[in-house]
Amino acid sequence: MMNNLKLIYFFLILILSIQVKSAEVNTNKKEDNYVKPIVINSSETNDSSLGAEYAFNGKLFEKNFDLDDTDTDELNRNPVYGSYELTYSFDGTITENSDNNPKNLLESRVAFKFVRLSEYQLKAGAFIEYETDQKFDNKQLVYGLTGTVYKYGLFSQNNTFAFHANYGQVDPSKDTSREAILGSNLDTYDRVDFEAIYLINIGNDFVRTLELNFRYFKEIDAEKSIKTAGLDDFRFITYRLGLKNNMYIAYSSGELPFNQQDNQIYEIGYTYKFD
Amino acid sequence: MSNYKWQENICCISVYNILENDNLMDQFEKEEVSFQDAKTLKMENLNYYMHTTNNGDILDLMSHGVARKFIQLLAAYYVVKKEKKTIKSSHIYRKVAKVFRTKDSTLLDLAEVVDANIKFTDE
Repeated sequence: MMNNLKLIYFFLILILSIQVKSAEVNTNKKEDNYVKPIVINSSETNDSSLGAEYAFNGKLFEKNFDLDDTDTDELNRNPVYGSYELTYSFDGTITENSDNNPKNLLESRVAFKFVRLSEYQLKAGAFIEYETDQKFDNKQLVYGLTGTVYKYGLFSQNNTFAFHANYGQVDPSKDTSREAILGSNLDTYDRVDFEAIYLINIGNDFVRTLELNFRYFKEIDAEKSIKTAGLDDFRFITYRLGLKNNMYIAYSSGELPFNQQDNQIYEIGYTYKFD
Repeated sequence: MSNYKWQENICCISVYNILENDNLMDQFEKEEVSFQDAKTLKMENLNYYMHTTNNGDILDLMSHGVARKFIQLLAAYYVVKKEKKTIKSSHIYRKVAKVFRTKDSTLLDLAEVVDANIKFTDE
């Protein structure tokens, strides 16, 4: 059963990957879907891991709501418009050895959202998500409410801010860390999680941007034994300096669900794509 | 492959100026990317692009926020109208946002979308 699940999951990722390639050939540039090779240096294991990071996002359904200004050729400078959308997403990081994967959390999600686009960009709705580690040793279903906001020009003309939050019920079908404390009958529990990003446009001769990303997961009304074991919250922070000529330095620290080891990850890189 | 040509017309110049100018969007430096070279400059290499997340909702909204800022500045510094009366303004914002959403899109792609949907009445 477990192997079948793994096969289905990876087959799905493979199909999506092939679709991305086809879309690129058809000159219709796909948005941000990708599989890219990575090397992770983790302080926890003092080891480097080869791996792949993947992300696939798409819309299964979309209905737009637009202001009808077809009676004039004036371009509206501040239109308010939006849509309803049914979306899917798959993203995660897989390494050759899962013990060396500090980002060992694969997320697959379907969500229905209302989108409102004005001076602030907003999305809000409901979601259902499947979370697992790369070996499928731990897995859980999460469902609840979701919301996202983005603002261009917060605190400074070209600095930007994004905030994405979920409030949901977690239904763990397998969680080895919780089982060690609570036994094999795992109850559902409530969880809030968010991701906040602030991007500072520095724009000097050497440093172009500083990007701060903070992810936080918190179990609501966790049992004392869960709190004592440190399983009630997880936090993961990333700092990324964008440098001249598309170079960058990134540093991450913290832990994600299913990965209780506090990790520090260093990354120095150069963004280049072969056409 | 697009047939659109990057050249010194008001559309391409406006795209370059609004994205490059330190007092406008300040997305890249002219010392690094000249006007002639800018046609191949990719969206993922502009300063607005968030690299620390794979979250599709965040990246979607980012593209709409950047598109709104870009079009507002375009309308503030140039005399522009819709290319066709029958196109909704929001449709143009969506098209421009799609370019900003796509990592591999270039300034040439952006100029092509602007030229197809927005008329510069002072050209």
